[in-house]
Amino acid sequence: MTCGRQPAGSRHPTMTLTGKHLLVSVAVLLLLLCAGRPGPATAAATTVDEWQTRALRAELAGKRPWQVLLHYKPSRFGGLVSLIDDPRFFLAPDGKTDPQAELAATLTGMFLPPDPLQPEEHTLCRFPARSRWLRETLGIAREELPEVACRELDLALEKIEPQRAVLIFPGNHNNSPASMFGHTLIAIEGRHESRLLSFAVNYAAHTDETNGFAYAIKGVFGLYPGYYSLLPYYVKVREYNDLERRDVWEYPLDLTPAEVERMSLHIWELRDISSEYYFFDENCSYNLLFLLEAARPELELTGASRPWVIPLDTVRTIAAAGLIREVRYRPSKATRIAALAMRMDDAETRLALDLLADRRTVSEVATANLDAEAQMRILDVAIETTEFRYYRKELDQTAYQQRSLQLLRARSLLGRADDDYLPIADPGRPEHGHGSNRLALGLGIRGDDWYQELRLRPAYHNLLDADQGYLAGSQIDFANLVLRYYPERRQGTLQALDLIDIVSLSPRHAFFHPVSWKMTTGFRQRQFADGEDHLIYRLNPGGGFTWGNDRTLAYVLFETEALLSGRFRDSFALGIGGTAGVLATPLPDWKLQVTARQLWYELGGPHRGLEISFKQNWRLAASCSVALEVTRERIFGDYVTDGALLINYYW
Amino acid sequence: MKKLLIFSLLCLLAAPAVAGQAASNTGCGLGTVLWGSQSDGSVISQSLQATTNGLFGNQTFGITSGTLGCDQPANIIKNDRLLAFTADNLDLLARDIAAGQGETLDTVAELMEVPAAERPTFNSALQGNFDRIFVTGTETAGVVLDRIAVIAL
Repeated sequence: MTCGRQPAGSRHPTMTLTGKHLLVSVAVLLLLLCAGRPGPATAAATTVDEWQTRALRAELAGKRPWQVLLHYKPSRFGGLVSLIDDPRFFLAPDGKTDPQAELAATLTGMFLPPDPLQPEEHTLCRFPARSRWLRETLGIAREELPEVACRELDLALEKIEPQRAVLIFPGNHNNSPASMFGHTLIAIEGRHESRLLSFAVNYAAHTDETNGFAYAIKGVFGLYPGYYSLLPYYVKVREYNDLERRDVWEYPLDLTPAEVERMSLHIWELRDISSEYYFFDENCSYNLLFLLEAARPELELTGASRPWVIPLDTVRTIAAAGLIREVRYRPSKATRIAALAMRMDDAETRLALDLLADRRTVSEVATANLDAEAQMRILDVAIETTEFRYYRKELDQTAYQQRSLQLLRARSLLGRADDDYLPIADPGRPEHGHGSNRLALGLGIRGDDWYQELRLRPAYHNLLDADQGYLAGSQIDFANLVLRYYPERRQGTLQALDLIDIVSLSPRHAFFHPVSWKMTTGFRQRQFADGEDHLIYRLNPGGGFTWGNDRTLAYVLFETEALLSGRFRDSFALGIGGTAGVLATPLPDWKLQVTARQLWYELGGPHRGLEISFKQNWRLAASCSVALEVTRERIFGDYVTDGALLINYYW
Repeated sequence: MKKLLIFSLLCLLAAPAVAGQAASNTGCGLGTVLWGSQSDGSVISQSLQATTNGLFGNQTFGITSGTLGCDQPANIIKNDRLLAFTADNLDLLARDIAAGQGETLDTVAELMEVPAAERPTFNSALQGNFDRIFVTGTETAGVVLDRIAVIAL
């Protein structure tokens, strides 16, 4: 405090510094700092010490806005600890764990004269949300603080012009473990009409890792630094909508321009500040909630009730806080292409494919005796597909430019399409879909034995759960626990613990040929040669193809499976085979699935396994459904039939 | 049979490790891809990628554009934001002009301060002159904007 004890309002000339002036400048600075030169302050100016006393008396460090801005949370060992790990986020050495010390250091920093070498590092520039709150709460007049030019901050605010905030929810994307559960970010809109001109605030792990599994594993243990970023929103839209096949939902938030500005100042404080990124809890979605709390500290959003945070759940949390009134749907490019492909008849599809394969020319589209809309569809699909091929490096830039120019030129001659040219049904508000926790209770029969069953699944979505808010044909089940009790035998069993059960069924159509895959691993009861069930561990990957649309998917998956159990000859069995199935949604609330699966186990403990299953799930409400499942299996030559009726509860 | 079995199991397990490698883009004009090194076609390649929600390089606070490298300073249009937006969205702009409508075209019109009442005329004037705006496909954003200004303003 020795050097900070100078009258408020003292000003310092701004200096341009070059090499040899440096020493002189530093000397001058020290002189100014320590000499206690009286500035043009009013006689009644309050010293920083007095402000400190007032802040202490008012117990400001214990106030919610301060705790929100510093991301303090109750510590496991008592007291408070900030979730931010980067020491540069704190001004006091023990700021991470001591809110009062941090507050005192911030107040001191606010009154320090700016360092002419790094004026942007002044507390008023670096931590504008904190200083503004302290200034407003204590009633510190602006003139009492040193005059600091925060040019970078001013420039950023001028570009962003914070007015409105929008919660952005890109749906899930099965083929990337990083985005399996979807994602959330916040767009800050300025005075522009176009939504593309807003800026997207994103919290993400910082990595150049391209291996999804390594990313997932390191992510679980917090081995990546997480950073907040700010980018033009159109960059994110193109990333989600175009590069990946993710539909995006936009929720304008009910925040005032003043609140959005406060949020923006806090985002500035988080610039280049890292914290350990944890996949499950301290992840993208959880950290965004702090920004909303910074905007309106009365909101309590970060008091997570679960040990994991799923983006869709944070959408619900924010909706429950009353911040969401409407939603806007932004279909992905893949959704648009699929919609176009659906509306094309065989002749149009053939013509588009011929065009793409150079078997026919653009001029033949015009002379093919088709109406204008049909020609538009052919050209539009060809334009989009050409771009995909370019992204896949099947075309170089010159070839792409020539091809797309030809197609676009032909398209420009057809005029503007009617508004009903490409109707895309809104799939419904994701946050109104089922919750990701599921509890099921039911009765069943296996062979001749009745049983009661309890299933508990903490996350996320099963092929048979209603699709609203989730990607049709994608299943991500984690840690699904199945317990059974056979009353006649008075025997309780761990029927299954499916640690990971992921299925991605992506339908193929004329212009889009994705691969489908699955990955299942966990513990499961399985019938053995003795006719009894025993617990085994299995690992079951597979890959194949899917055809159809969102209402009916037919698929074939080639699979391999490794089973571990002491009861196999060599304690393991390795099998190869596959599954064929149909997943249908005959009515909006009704899903059914029929599958046949055959595996030949040749290594370890040779045997065969055949399974035919019929499953259906009827949605009664968003949180409730009735499932009926019947499976007939033939393992080691013995048949066994298992049927169960279950009530599912989602929350 | 056994060999095939082991091989296929290994293939399936190893597949995620060969995630697509990105190639860098060169040149200007259409196809100068915004996300540069990330454009390895994850849409269709289906490799299990970590890219999507992650951050790359120094992408943390990007208020200005990254694809302005192509432009020469001799353009009529001097609006930085317009130039940056157009450079970053050139392919989408070309598509919207060819279609006579779209969000990217609306954004360019807004940044050029075309009044709402004049947008339909603006849009159809550009659509009608598509081949005068995009002649070779190698035009930079500055050139495209200059041509738009000549045609429509």
